[in-house]
Amino acid sequence: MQELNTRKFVGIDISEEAVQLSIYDEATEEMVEEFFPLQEKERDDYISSGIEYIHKYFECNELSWEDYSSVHFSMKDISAGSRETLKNVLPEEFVERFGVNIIGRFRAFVEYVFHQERVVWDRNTMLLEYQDNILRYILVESIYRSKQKAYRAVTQEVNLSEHGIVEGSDTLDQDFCKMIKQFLLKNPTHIIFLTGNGFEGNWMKRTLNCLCSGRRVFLGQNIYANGASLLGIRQTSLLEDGMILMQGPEMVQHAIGIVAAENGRQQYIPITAIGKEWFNTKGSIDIILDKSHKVDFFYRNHRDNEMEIASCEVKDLPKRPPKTTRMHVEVTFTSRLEGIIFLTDMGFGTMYPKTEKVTVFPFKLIS
Amino acid sequence: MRETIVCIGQIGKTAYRFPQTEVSITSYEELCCYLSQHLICYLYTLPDEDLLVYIKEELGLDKLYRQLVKLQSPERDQMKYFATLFREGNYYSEDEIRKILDQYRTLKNEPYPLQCKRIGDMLLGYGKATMAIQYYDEGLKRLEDQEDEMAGSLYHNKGIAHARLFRFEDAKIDFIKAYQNNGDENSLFHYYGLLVFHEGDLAKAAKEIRESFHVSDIVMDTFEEKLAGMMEEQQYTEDAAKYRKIVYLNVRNRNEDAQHYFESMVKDQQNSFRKELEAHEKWVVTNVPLRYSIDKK
Repeated sequence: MQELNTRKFVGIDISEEAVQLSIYDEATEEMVEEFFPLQEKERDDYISSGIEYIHKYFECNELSWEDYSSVHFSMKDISAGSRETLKNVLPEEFVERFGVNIIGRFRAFVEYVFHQERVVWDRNTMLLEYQDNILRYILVESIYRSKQKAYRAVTQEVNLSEHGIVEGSDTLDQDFCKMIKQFLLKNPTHIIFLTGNGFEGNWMKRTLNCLCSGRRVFLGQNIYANGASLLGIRQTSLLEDGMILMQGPEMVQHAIGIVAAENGRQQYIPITAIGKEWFNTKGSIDIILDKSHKVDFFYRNHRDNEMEIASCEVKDLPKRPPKTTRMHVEVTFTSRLEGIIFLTDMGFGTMYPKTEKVTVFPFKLIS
Repeated sequence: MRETIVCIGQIGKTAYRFPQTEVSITSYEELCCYLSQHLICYLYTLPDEDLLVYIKEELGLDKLYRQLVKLQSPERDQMKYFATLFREGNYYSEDEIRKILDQYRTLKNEPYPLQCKRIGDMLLGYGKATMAIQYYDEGLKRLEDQEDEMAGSLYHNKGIAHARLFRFEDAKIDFIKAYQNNGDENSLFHYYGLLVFHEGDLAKAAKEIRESFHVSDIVMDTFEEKLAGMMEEQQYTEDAAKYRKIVYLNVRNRNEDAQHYFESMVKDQQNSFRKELEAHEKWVVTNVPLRYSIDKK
């Protein structure tokens, strides 16, 4: 009997400390997790070292990239330099097959949460990452905006030294427990994921008691890689259950759109959506200009529920009757709050030939 | 608020060419625009099935394809076909669709010879003189030798179509018949113009018009003035400029260049003339209105 073709998705998390590899099998619904700590000498060029580990793992286990549907990378440092380095390190064949899909750790966790059962994301869920005496947290909480249910993911960093907590000290458990009690009072949570080498060792006794009282707590190292691999199935979008506001680093919180007539009514039509890093946020739409050569763009701030309008005039178009100019509108972001809109004149078939003239319209969003 | 229309479907990799006019379209919006301006072609038929396949495969509008297939059968209301097509996207507002359909209804209710004239005029506009003549003849047949303005109008335009095909003798007859039917001096002027250009004798042409049609001196002066204006206008056309260049090159003994220019000019004219001769058998047959076919039986 022929084996059924099932999809497998790979997630790789790269940081200076370690490389995480997760492979999700859609048929068995099982996740294979691998963790490769990097040695001190490998940390200078941790991206290529990390990728080398992955390649070696594939070689040793006689795995072939051809068997996987997608590969997503999550990175601790998602600066342009790191992204470029990763692109350069990956073999051409690999890039051709999968592309270079990079997300931040913040989004990796949020994706992980929203790919779990409803019970995980419908109540407040938190990730605590403890490393180098710094506690980073990502909180996914359900909120109500204008009587509509929505989900918000926020992240913050707490320097524990400021709270008198010293990593490795004898009083760490006691001090950490005291701090986390107050912290959880401010941020009520039902499920907690713990990650980071700060939680390693057997120092957690009181802290664990405190964390576990009335909550479900999970400890693991591959949470980001798991989130990246699950992204291969689909990108989280919960429009029916409520919007997800991802208020993390490099995350876009504005949707760029236009208002156009649809079924006889003026409607807001988004060109780009929120919920992705700015470098992953792109969108395009084809529109027809009526009498005016101006296009109004609407920048919708989903965090503050505000709308801003900017008007772009397309100049030097050939004289054509109304409704005979097709424009290809492409929106790209150059940072979280800045971007460029390209408007290309596509004409109107053979009736009114295109000039392919591109109008560049930069935009700056109010935070 | 400025009006912006969001396009639907995708741009076709290849273009769909309407056989009647040879206009190509590559998107749903172009299709709507074209059809709304050429509904006269579809008074008794609907667009080819090829168009439906194009809508499905090239424009990616599967739902619209399925809806239109159901409306393709002849007993179905054609209005429904076009209404469904226009309402699928946002290219036309509801008011605009209503206006287009009203115009379509008006066209459908017009007398048959007028419909034929309109199709003929449209084809003439697209440089399809042979096909236009077929429609003018169709309209004239229906009038059954009635002498009226409509017949005059049909003869006049048929004369223009014949002149485009260099069938000057036929054109002359048409212009005379047009003048006899509608008494329009414009038809007579066209006849006069043809005499001048074809026979090259201005005095002889003027004499014939005066004697045969008893035209007053005032009218004759108007004709001459109009003709002079037309000849002057001709000087500013692209072809006239090309011709002047050929003469200039010949004078300068650059005969080879002149020959090259001459050949390219002739080739261009041949190409545009070829279109005038074309008659798409398939299209003409399917578009001969059913009403006519039924009457013949």
